[in-house]
Amino acid sequence: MKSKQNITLKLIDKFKNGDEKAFDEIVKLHYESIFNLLLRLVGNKLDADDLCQETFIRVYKYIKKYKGKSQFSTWLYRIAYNVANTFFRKQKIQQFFSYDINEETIISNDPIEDYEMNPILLKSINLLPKKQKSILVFRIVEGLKYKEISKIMNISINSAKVNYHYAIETLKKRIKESNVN
Amino acid sequence: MSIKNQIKNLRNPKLSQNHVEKFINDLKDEIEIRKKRTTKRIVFSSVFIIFLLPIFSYITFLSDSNDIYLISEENSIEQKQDFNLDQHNLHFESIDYIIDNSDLIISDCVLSCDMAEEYNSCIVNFALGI
Repeated sequence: MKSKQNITLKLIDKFKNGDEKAFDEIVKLHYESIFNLLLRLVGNKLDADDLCQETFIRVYKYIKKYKGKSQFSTWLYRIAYNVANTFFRKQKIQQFFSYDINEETIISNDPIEDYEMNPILLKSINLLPKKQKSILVFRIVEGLKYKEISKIMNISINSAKVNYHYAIETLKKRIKESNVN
Repeated sequence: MSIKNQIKNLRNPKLSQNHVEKFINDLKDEIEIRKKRTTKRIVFSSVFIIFLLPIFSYITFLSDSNDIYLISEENSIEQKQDFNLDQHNLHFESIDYIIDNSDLIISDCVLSCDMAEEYNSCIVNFALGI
C-alpha cells in the first residue's frame, strides 16, 4: 500500500501541472487530521472549521513552494499551527477590548462533545498555556515525535520535551486538587 | 486510567462524507473570492502606479519653485536673493558643474563661495526641496 506521503506527493505534482481536482484529493486526504487537530487546539467546531478553511487556503497558495524535503503532514501541521496562533492572538485582542468575555466563556462556547472524557481533565487541558496544550495535542492525540513537534512549532526538541512534561504535571496536579475538593 | 490514555481516547467527531464535500465546495468558493479580491487589488495598484503616481509627482514637481540665483564676485547669494546658505544647507562642489548643468535640479551638492568668487558671475537654476 502506498504511503499517505507518496500519494500526496503525486497529487501535488498533478496540481502543479494544472490539475485543480488534485487539490480536492489532497484536502480529502488530510482534512480529518487537520480538523481534529484544530478542534483540540481551539476547543469548538465552529472555529475549528473556519481555521481549517484558512489552513487549506494557505496550502493552496503556497503548495507550489513545497519542495518535499519534509513530510507533507509536518508542513501542513505547521501551517495549521500558525493559523491557530494567529487566531489566538486575535482572540486575545478581542478579549482585551471586551471586558465581559473571559477565557472560560470562550472555551465553553460550542464545546467538543467528549462524553468519554473526564470533564475536569478536558477543562484542565483547555486551561493549559497554548504552547503546552499544542505540544500535548501533537504528542498524544496526533502521536508525533518530539523532533516533528519541534519543527512544526519552531522550538527546540528540549523545549518540546520540557513543555510536555510541564503539561502532564499540571494536569496531574489539577486533577488531584479537584479530587480533594 | 492514566492521563495520557484518557487523552488518547479523546473521541474525535465523526465526519460524514457530505461534511467533507461541503467543506471542499466552501473552500473552492472562498479561494475564488480571494483570487478576485487579489486581482482587483493588483489592478487598482497598477492603475495607481501607472496613472496617479506620475500625476502626483508632477504636481509635487510643479509646486517646487525653480529659483534663479546670481553668483558673482561682487554679489554673494545672500546679498542678492536674501538667501541664507547655512539655513538651507545648500552647497555646490564645483562651479564648473553648476555652469555645465545649469538647467538641472540640484538638491545635494557642495558649494564653496570662495570658488564662486574665482569666476565671473553665472546664473544657476536649481530647485529647493527635491
